[in-house]
Amino acid sequence: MSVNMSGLIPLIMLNPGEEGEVVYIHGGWGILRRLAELGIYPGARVRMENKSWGPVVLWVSGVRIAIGRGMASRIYVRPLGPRRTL
Amino acid sequence: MKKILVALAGNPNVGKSTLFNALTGLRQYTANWPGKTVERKEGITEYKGYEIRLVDLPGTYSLTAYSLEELLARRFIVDEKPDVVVHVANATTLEKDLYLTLQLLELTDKVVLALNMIDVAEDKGIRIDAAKLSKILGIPVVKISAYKRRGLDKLLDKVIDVAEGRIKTKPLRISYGREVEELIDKLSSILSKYNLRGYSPRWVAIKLLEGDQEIIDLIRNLPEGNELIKLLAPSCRSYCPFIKEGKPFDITLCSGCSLRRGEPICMLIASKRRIFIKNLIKLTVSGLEVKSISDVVDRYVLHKLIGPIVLFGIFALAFLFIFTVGSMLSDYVSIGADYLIGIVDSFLKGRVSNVIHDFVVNGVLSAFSTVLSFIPLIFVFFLVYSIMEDSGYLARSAVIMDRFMHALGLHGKAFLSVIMAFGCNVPGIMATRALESERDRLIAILINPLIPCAARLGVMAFIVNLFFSGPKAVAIMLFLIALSLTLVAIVGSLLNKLLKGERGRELIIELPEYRMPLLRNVLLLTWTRIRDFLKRAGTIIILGSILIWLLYTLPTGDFETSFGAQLGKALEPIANMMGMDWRAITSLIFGILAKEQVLAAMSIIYGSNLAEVLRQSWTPLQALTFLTVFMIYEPCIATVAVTRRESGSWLWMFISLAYTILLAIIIGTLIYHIGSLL
Repeated sequence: MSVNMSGLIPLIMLNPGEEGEVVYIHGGWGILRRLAELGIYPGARVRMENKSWGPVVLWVSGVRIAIGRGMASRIYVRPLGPRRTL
Repeated sequence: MKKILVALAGNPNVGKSTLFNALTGLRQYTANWPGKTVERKEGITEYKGYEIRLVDLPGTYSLTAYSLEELLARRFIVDEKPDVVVHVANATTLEKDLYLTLQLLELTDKVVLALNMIDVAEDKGIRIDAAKLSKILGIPVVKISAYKRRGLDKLLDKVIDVAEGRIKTKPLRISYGREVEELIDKLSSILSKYNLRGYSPRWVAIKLLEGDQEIIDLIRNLPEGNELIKLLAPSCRSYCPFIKEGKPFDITLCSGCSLRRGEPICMLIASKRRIFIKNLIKLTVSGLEVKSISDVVDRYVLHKLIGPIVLFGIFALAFLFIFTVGSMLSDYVSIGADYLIGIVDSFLKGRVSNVIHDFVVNGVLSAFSTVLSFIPLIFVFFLVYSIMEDSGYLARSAVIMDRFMHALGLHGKAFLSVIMAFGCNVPGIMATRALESERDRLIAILINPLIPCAARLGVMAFIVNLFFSGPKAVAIMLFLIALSLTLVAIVGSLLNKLLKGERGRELIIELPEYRMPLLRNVLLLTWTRIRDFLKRAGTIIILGSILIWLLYTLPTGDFETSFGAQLGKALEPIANMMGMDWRAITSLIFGILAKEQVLAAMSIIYGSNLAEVLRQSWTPLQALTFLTVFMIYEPCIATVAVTRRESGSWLWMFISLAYTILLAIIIGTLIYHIGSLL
C-alpha cells in the first residue's frame, strides 16, 4: 500500500466529539465496499459519538452507525480535532 | 383502467414501508420472491384513473450482489421492467442515501427520487434545493412526508408523468475517471455482442470491476470470458475476487487495477460515487448540524453501566405487560372457544357416531381452541416487539448486547433473533437471516429452540401456578428462564468452539433517529407477523393435533391400549430416570408436534379436571422436573421444519432435534436427583 501513514491514528482512538478524515481502511474487499455504502470510505469525515460500551457509534454524514471495536481499529483517520457544537 | 407498475427502492430506515402503507392501506399482500425466502410486499392504489401496482423492493444500501436482497431488487428492475422506480430517500441522511440513487440511475432511466421525512429535515433546519438536485440528476425529485401524508399526490403525479413519457428523464452518468472509463469502454465493446440477462454492457462492465458475484458468473459462461477476465485481473491480492477464489496470481494478467493511492478499482468506483455525492450535497443541501435528541438519549441508553440496566428494565416491563395483558385476553378467548365447542358438542351428540363425535370435539376443535387461546399472547408480544422496532430502540439493544453475544461467537444482530424467539421460534429462526456468515447463522439457528417461546411460557405459567404460589411461583418462572438462557450461553459457546467456517464480520448497524411509533405502522407490522403464526398454526399444528388424536385412539379407541400409550410405556425407563411415569412422558411426546398441545394431551391422559389430578399425582419436584424437560426440548414441528429450511440441511435439523431432546433428558435427570437430595 502506498499510503502515507504518518499522522494517522486508528478511528477507535478518537474521543467522543472528535472528528477525523478516513484515509485508509485495512480489511477485505467485501468489508470495504460495505463500509463505503454506509458512507465510511477514504475521504469521508466521521465523528466519534459514543465509545463507552462494545461497538462504537459514529456520526457519518447525517447517519449514526454502530460498528465493532475491532473494525474501528482497522480504520485509519487523520484527526481533525473536536467539532464546534452549536 | 390504465395500469402502472411501480417499484419502491430505498435503504433500510428511510420510511419506505410507511410510504408503502400510506399509499396502499390494506390493499396489500405478501408473498415470497420466487424460490426465495425473502418477503415480497405488493399493493395497489388507484389515482386519477390509473391502477398503480406497487412492489416494495427489499431495503438495500446498494445494488451489488452483496446480499440476496440486493440481487432480488435489481433482478426485479431488470426482469419485470417496472414503469417507474421510486427511490425513497431519507431527507435527513441524503448523503448516505444518494449512493443508491446513483446505482439505480445506472440500471434504469425511469427513476423518481422521493425525499421522505422532509418535515423532520426542515425542523432540523436542513434545506434541500430539489429543483437543482433534479436538474443535476436528470430525474424528478419530490419532497414528501409519508408519516404526515404530505406530497403523496405530487409524487404520484410525477410517477404517472414519467410512466407516460410526459417527463423525459435524462439520467446522470457519472464518469469514473480516464483510466477506469477506458477499461469500461474496452469491456463493454466486447460485452455488447452478448445477451447479458437484460443488463446493459456498460452496467455489466462496471459491476464486473466492482467484483459483483452474479456478473462474474455471467462472464465466466461467455465464450470470451477468459479474454475479459484477462482485461481486468487486478493487482491486489487481498481485494481481488478472482485471486481470492484461488486462481493463480499472474502479473501478466494484471490490468493495473491499482490506480491511485493503492486503491483497487472496486474501491475507486465506490470512492468516485462518494466524492460526486459529496459535491452534489454541497451544491444542493444547506442547513445547520444540530445535536438531535437521539444523541442525548443515546448517551444514557448506550452507556456501559446504565445501558444494560435500561435494557433489562425495558424488557422486564415488556414481559410483565405481555403476560398480564396477554394472558387476560387469552382467558377470554378460551372461555369463548369453550362455549362454542360446547354448542357443537351438544349439537353433534346422538346425531353422528361416537368416533366422529370424539374426533370433531376432542381432536379438531380442542386443538383449534388451544391454538386460538395462544393468539392473544403472541399478538401482544409482536405488538410490543413492533413498537420497540418502530421507535428505534431495537437497533440499540443489538449494540448493547453485542459484547454478550460475542461469547457465543455471534454479534449483536443475533440478539434480535433471540428476542423474537420469546414470541415464537419460527420467526426467531427466520430473523437469523440478518447474519451474514453461514457459520453464525447456523449457531443462531441451533440455539434458538432453547429459548422458551410465548406458547411454552404460557403452558409453564399454568403448571407453575398449580404447584407454587405468590413469590415462589415468580421465582420458579425466573429460575426456568435463567436456566434456558444459561443453556443458550453454554451451547452457543460450545458451538462457537466446534463449528468451523468463516467467522462473521463484526456488527455494523445503522441507528435510526428515535421517533414516536406510528400506530398504523405498528399494527401493520404486528399483523404481518401474526399472520405468519396463524398460517403455521392453521396448518401444521391442527394437522399435528389430528395425528395426536389418532395416536391415542387407534387401534381400539381405548387410551390405555393406544399406540400413544404404548409408546409412552416403552419409554418409561427414561421417564423413571427423571422421576416421571409413562403418562407424563406420553404428554411430552405429544409436545413434539406443538408445545401448546401438551395441556390438551394431558387432559386426555389424566382426565378432564387436570388441575386437581395433577396436584394429587405430582410432587412439586416432579412438576419442576416436568417443566424443565418441557421447556428444553424442540418447541414444535414447525420449528423443526423451519430449521430444515433455513439451515438447508436435514443433518442440522436432526442435530437440532436430537440435542435438545438429549439435553432435556440430562437436565431433567439432574434436577430430579439433585432436588431429591435437598
